[in-house]
Amino acid sequence: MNRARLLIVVLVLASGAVTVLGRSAQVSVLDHQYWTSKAFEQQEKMINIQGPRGQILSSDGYVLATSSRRYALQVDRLHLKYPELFAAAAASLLDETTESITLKLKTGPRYQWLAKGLDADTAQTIQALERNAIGIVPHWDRVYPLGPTAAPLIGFVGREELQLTGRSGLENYYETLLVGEADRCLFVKDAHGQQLQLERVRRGRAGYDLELTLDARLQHAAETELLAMMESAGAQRGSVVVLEAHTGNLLALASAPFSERPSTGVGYDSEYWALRPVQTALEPGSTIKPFIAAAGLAAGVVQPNELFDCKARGIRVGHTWIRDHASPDIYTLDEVIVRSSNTGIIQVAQRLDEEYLWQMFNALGFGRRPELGFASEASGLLWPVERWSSMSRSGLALGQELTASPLQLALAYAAIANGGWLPEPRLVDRMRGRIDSARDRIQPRAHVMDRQLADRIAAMLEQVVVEGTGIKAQVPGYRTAGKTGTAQMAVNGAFDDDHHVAWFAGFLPMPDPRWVIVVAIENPTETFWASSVAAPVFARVAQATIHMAGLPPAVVLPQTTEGDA
Amino acid sequence: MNHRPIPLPTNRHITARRDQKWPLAFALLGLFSLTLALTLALIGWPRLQSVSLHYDLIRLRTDVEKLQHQARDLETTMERLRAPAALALEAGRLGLAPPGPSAITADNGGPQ
Repeated sequence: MNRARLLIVVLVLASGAVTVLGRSAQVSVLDHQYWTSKAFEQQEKMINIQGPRGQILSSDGYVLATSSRRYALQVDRLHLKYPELFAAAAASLLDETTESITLKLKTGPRYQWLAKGLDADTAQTIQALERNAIGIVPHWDRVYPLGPTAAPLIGFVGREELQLTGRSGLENYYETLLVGEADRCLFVKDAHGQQLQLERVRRGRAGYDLELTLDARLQHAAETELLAMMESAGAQRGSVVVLEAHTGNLLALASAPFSERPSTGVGYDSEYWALRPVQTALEPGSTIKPFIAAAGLAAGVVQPNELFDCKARGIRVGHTWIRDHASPDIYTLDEVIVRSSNTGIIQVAQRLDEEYLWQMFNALGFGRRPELGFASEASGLLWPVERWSSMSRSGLALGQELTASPLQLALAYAAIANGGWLPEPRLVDRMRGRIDSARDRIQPRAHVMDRQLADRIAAMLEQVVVEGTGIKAQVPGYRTAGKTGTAQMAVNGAFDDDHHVAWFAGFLPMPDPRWVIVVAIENPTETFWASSVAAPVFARVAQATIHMAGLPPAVVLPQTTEGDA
Repeated sequence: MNHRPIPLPTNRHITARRDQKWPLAFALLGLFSLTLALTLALIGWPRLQSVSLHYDLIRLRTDVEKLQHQARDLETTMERLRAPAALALEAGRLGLAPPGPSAITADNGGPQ
């Protein structure tokens, strides 16, 4: 009996032990994977922490955009014991009202972002108020040390959770290069969800730095001069392009109006973030006349010393009478350009074959994107010959039946300045850290004009500044060349006398120009003539360019006590 | 009368063996302690050191990161201060202006 009892007890104990061992084996061996993953799920989490975006730098060493380490606070509402007291204490540190913080703490999901973009000290002070409920998460903020300088060009970033994303300008266009790779971090927490450890398991990579060809000081000077003229002329918008004639490097791209920084896309107004020299196409007006003259000479339809009768203050084309603002006289081709005679240039255009004229404009880059490397580049308007009317050649000769961006016009003028080569525009000099740097790429250039012809046109343009409509584009001590253009703007499909764009496109120093400068001022109300509105801006920006380059005067300066050009 | 001494009670063998083994036991214990101490010294101490170094490293890395961020912030401040707009403002406040034509000296050496 005793033995039987003992056997039963042993069997019961043994079966209990077997059950425990069996369950243990099931948990630790058979279901090992399941429970391990369950534990990891509860205790560990892999999170990505974005590294800093690449910097955007100017060619003269200024930092146009950089990243700065900041901290975000995340609150766990479940573990927050005294929300009212916490809100009252945190309000002054966060520069917010107690009510707004209380509202955040009492509504919404369990985990809430309390604040972002804090410095380390403030974040730690606030965390100390409720250590169990507040977590600190590092992140990056975008900083633009030069303020609004080149704002439409650089653009801005937006934020998705803690991730920065380029929304406009270069920040957007070069997003994949600027953003880099995130740090992979192990986030370990206890049963209450409190952070125990944050360990980086894989180091990310900061974004590549963009080195621009832009000169920050010249950019600032161009923006300042443009804004000053827009204010005095009562204009609404404007553009300035400064380009190296031989390389196509862009030294300044001023666009107005522009937004004051910073912006995260809230209240975004495209008017203030558009890069007008690149994204806006306008009627180029008389700035196109030198190309018509070049086409006439190249095609041999104009004799070198031929005279053009421009006495009638206009010319009839079909049933339309086109006015001429130049003094009535008989002009040579050079004088047609110098006086900007509509009658003379229309006579040249009407001798040209339509296809030949279209080819010339196409070769100079009109009607197609300049491929600068920027979003929404304007291609301008150049109709195919099939769509031309009997008025088209005359309209084109006056720069009214085509549109071009200031950048396109600058590139075409660069072809005159450098002996006939159409340069490729360059804005990004190189991407620091990348092997296939833009600097190493050969820039293809098209030869669009003979050197002799280019020099001949350049000489005409120099005379425009010496004695013609561009006299206010003179820079004391330096020889400049260029052409004014006062174009009517098409509004609702028609031209009127109320909307104009004032242009000046030119280059300096002659006889071997290094820089091309194009100024376009839209809708000036005080006076709309380019000679009074655009030419002085050209002169001041040219002077700033010369100062930056440290170029000594090449001609004897006149005796003057004036402090300005 | 021949008086034979009464043999004293003795466990001579046992005593002798015990007496013989105690030193050995002490020696073994000493050897074990020494080995343990040596093992601790040879293995434990470097491990202790490495843990200490690990913590030092973590602290130093944090310091480096903090200093890097500080340097970055200082660079940003410097960039703000030397921005062309900021300098133009400061120059204007000090009465400086861009040189006009009369201030430019031509190649012939004299002011023109």
